[in-house]
Amino acid sequence: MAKVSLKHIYKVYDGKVKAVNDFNLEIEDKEFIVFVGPSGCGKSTTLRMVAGLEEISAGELWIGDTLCNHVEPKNRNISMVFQNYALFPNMSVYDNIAFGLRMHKVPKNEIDEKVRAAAEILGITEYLDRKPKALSGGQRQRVALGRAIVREPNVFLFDEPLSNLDAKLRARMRTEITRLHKRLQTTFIYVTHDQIEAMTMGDRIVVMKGGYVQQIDTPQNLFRWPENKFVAGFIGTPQMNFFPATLKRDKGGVTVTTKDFTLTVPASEAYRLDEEYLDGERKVTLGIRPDDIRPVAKAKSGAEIRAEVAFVEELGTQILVYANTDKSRLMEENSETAFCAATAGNPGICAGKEVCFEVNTAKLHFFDEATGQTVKHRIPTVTVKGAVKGGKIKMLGAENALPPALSTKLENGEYEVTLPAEALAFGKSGYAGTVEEVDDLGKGRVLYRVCCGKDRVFLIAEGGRAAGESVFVGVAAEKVTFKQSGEVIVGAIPATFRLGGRYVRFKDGKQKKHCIETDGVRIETPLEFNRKMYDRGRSVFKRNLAFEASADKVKFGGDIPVTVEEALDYGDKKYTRLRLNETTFCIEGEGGTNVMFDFDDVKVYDSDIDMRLF
Amino acid sequence: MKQCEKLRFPKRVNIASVAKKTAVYVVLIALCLTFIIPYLWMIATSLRTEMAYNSTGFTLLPIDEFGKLSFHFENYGEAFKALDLGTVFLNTMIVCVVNTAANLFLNSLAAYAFARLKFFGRNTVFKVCLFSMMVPGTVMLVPNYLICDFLGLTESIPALILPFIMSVYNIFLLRQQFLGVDKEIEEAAKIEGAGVFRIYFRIVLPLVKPMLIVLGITTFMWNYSNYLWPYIVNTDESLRTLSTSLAGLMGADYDLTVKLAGAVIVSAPMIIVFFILQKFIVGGTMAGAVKG
Repeated sequence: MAKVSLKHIYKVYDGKVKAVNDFNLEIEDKEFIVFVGPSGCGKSTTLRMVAGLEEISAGELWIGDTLCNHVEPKNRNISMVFQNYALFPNMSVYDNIAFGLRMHKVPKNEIDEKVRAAAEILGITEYLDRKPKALSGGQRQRVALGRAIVREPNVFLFDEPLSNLDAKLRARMRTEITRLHKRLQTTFIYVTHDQIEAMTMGDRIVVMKGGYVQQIDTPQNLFRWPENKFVAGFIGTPQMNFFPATLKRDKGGVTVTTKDFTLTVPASEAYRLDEEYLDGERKVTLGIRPDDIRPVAKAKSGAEIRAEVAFVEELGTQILVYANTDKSRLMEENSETAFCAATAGNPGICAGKEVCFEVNTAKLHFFDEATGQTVKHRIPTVTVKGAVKGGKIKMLGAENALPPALSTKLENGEYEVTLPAEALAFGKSGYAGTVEEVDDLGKGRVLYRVCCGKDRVFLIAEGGRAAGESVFVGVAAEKVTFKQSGEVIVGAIPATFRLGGRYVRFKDGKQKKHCIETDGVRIETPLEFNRKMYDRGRSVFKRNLAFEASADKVKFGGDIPVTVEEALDYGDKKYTRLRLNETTFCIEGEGGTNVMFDFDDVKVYDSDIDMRLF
Repeated sequence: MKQCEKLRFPKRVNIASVAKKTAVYVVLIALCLTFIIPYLWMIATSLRTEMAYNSTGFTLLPIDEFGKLSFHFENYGEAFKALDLGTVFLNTMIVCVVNTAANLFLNSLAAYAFARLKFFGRNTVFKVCLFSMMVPGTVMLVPNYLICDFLGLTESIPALILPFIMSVYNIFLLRQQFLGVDKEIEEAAKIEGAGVFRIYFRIVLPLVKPMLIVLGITTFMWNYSNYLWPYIVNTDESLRTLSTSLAGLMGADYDLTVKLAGAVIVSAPMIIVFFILQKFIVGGTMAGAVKG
């Protein structure tokens, strides 16, 4: 049993073609993780890196407590099931299953016991003497599973193991693998391009596209809260319907306007939308799942779409109605006005008929038209109105004193105050409010929607509070942004900063030294850092690099000269804005004109190919 | 449906197609006879007396001067003695077996390395090897002889084995076979705990067995019939192989019937081997053709 950690993993071919980009994932012990995505998205490459069949270009792979980047596959205690079964054709089923045990010099009687036990579990006892060529596809796949389970590895890897089977057998094997996971209680990593497999089998799913992780979440969360249009379209059958639209804030909520229909997002959901998209002009993509569009005689909620039915698919328990709001483009499947609705009963709909469809407006999805990123967030960053007067701010239905760092910069007036969830916390004082909604995020984290005055804010805390409970919300002023007419007046203090530069070595007398050279300033690097750099090969001296440091890890003292720009007093916390040639950054604390870096914390990026080295 | 089938008109005989087929058969039979007739003539003549051979014209039957069938096996006894068959056969077998075994082992290792292992200059080395295939073997006779002489290997059995232990042709064909083996099988073995040699011996080598058999047969045959090199490098009669011994018999003052009996003796083992292993030869050659 083992946890698997993939930390900033990259796979780069020939120094330029990136197959996997900055893959980060913590896989819990006994978890069933599924990598899903279209062909060429890097899912199999990532799995092969975990298996040790592909070299890791950058990043760290941990299995249990062992850094496995350079560990041989046989020493990783993993088993893998391949797409083409990869059985040894010259050996019998028994020998195939026993192969791994023999390699590990397990005593003969124990091998026999284990092979027969595995064969019993998988129902292949009667085929033990046969050669793989005398077996059917399903039986071969079972032998491959048997070979994997018999060694009792820490991690099971599956590379599209069911894609060569027919639909019926695939569904059966899917259940068998899920059952096997429950029985073995081991970490499973499963690669597939089939979203149904992913949704039905995985505890969590990693959706990938073009070498990038798009989203990592539970099947339900991926379905309910897709982070971008790709995930929204990829997860769910039939696929989500998309319409070009604009959003405008109204008194009752947010109005969604498309070419052929208008809908209203209820106030309870409108808080989740990015404020900047609600001007009625910025183009967004509206997403509606087929399950959230229902053919009805008359929409009671008033949220309706009138469209002509193109054709109907009866699937037994479910009926899919394909319709188009533009009659002239009725048979165009990919037009911007076509959509699919799913209904359980038979509403007596036939092709060519104009039908009224009712939309569940609480479950609408919105995406930026250009980037495809969602503009409706599960954990929203709320922007509220705040009025500053005489060093005090009135917002969220209360008035509180501003810390000196803000009171000196914010003149009297109205501000748009951006409050990310991480800036808010429950406290004993602050802004009084009432918990309106509780949403369990998992792993002991709970998202609370709190009503403070007329505004709603979102914050993440441990569980224990119920809806209707009165609370106080504290605000970390250093994480808040103040804007006036869209212009940032005071921004949040960044948690990290980056220095561009190169890694160089030079001779100091007879001694060879190493440093990072940024804007003409040389910062000597410690031995451990140099070791990590040397691990990346000679090219580190030739590349343009970026060094990222966490603001809270840079301390006063040391020998790196900086210019103090200003002291920032946030009450409990004091910060200083510093300048190192062209780069400014804030660090916690005050005093001194020299700083030191914690090089254990410094992250290095190759700017030439945008890759994190470590 | 059956009713309809019964009512169908019979297919017309396509005269052009029949003529084409007949022409093909005629050509094939003619080619076959071209190869087989000399051999049948050789066998028939080896069973006749010199007088019978001189008194009748061309015949594929062992007949005497009066036209009656008669088998004269004494030619074979004489040929056995003339060839010094015991020593010569032993020498030939040592050369052929040792060379074939070493050749397959070393060449398959090299081929596997070229196909699967990653090492600096792999492709360049392979290209150089391929280039060496373009150099005619006869050209290499003099350098090979000089090297053997330098190493003191002339007039010895190892001189017949060592220069031919590596074959670029065999490496090339085996490499193509190894490339055809599904990589996932090897990866599965790797994950199961097998090292490179274990994968090579237990997994990959059995999968290319047909090609190994074909190359084994061709290498054996090549060594068996190699004449020029043994003739150059070894002059000692006790080190002669079948081919050089047969050449000696052909040049000696013996009846033609005895010489032909010698030729039959020398060629017979290879013909027997061919008939026993023909399914591997044909199958293996085909496998190589489609997979490579």
